[in-house]
Amino acid sequence: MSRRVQAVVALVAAVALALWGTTRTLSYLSIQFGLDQPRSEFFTTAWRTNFGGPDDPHSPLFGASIVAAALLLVVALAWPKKGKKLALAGTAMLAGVVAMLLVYLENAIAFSRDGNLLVDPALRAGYGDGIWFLLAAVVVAVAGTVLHPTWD
Amino acid sequence: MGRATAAALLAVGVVLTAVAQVLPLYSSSYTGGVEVVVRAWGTTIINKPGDWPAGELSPTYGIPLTVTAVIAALAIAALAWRPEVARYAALGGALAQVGALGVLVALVMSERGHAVGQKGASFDFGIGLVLLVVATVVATAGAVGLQREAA
Repeated sequence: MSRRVQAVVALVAAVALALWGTTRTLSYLSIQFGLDQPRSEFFTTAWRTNFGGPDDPHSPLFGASIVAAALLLVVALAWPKKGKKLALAGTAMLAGVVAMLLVYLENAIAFSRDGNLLVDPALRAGYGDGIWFLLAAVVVAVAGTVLHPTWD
Repeated sequence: MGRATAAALLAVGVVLTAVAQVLPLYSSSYTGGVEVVVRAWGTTIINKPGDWPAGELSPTYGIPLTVTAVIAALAIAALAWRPEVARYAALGGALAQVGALGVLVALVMSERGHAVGQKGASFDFGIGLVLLVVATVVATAGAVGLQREAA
C-alpha cells in the first residue's frame, strides 16, 4: 500500500471516528437520590445533555467544532496538492477540541462526583466511550498527516 | 502577506491570548447578589450562598490555551532558523486554538442560555472572551499568511 493510500485510509478513519464520537456519550452520572428511588442516568454527548426527561435545550454544541475539524480533513482528502497542510490544520483543530473537552469533562465529572457523594456514596460518574473515539480520531489523524506525502 | 507581517500577527495573537487568560471570560448574576465570574484559570463565586453545591465547577481552560500560545510563540522563534518547521508549528498552534475556542464558545453559549432563562438572573460576556476570539482570528490569519509567504 502506497504512502498516499495509507494517508487517505487514516484520514478517512479519523473523520469517521470523530463523527461517530459526536454521537456517543462523553461523560455520565448514574445516581440514586434515595433508597426507594429508581437510579437516575445523566449524560452528555457532543450534541446534547440530558438530566433525565427531555434534553437540556441549552446543551453545549461541542459537535459543531468537531464537524468543522472533520470537514478540514475531508478538504485535505479532496485537495491533494495542499493535502498535508490541510490535514495538519484539521488534526490540530481536532486536537484542540479534544484537549479543551478533556479539561471541561474532567472538572465536570469531579464536580458531579464530589457534589453528590453524600446523596449516593455508590454513585458512578466518568467518561463515556465518545471521548475515546475522539482521542482515537486525533491519533489516527496525526498518523494520516505524517503519512501524507505532499509537503509544499 | 510578507513574513514579517504574518509573524507580527501571530505575535499579537500570542500576546492577546496571554492577556485574555487573566480577564473574565463571562459572568452570570443571580438573586441575592450571587455572581459567578469565570476566567481561564478558575471560577470565582461572589456572595456564595451556604447551600452552594460542594466541589469546584472550575475547569482550567487556560491549559490548552497556554499550550497553543506556546506552540505559536515557538513558531515565531523558529522562523529565522527553521522556517519550514515554523510554518507547520504556526498552523498547528493556531488551528488547535480555533478548536479549543470552539469548545469554550459552546460552553459559554450554553451557560448564557441557562442564565438568561432564569428569573432574576443575568449574563455578561467578558472582555477575556472577546480578546480570545480576536487573538485566535489574528493568530490564524498570521499562520495562514506564513503559508502563503512560503509559496
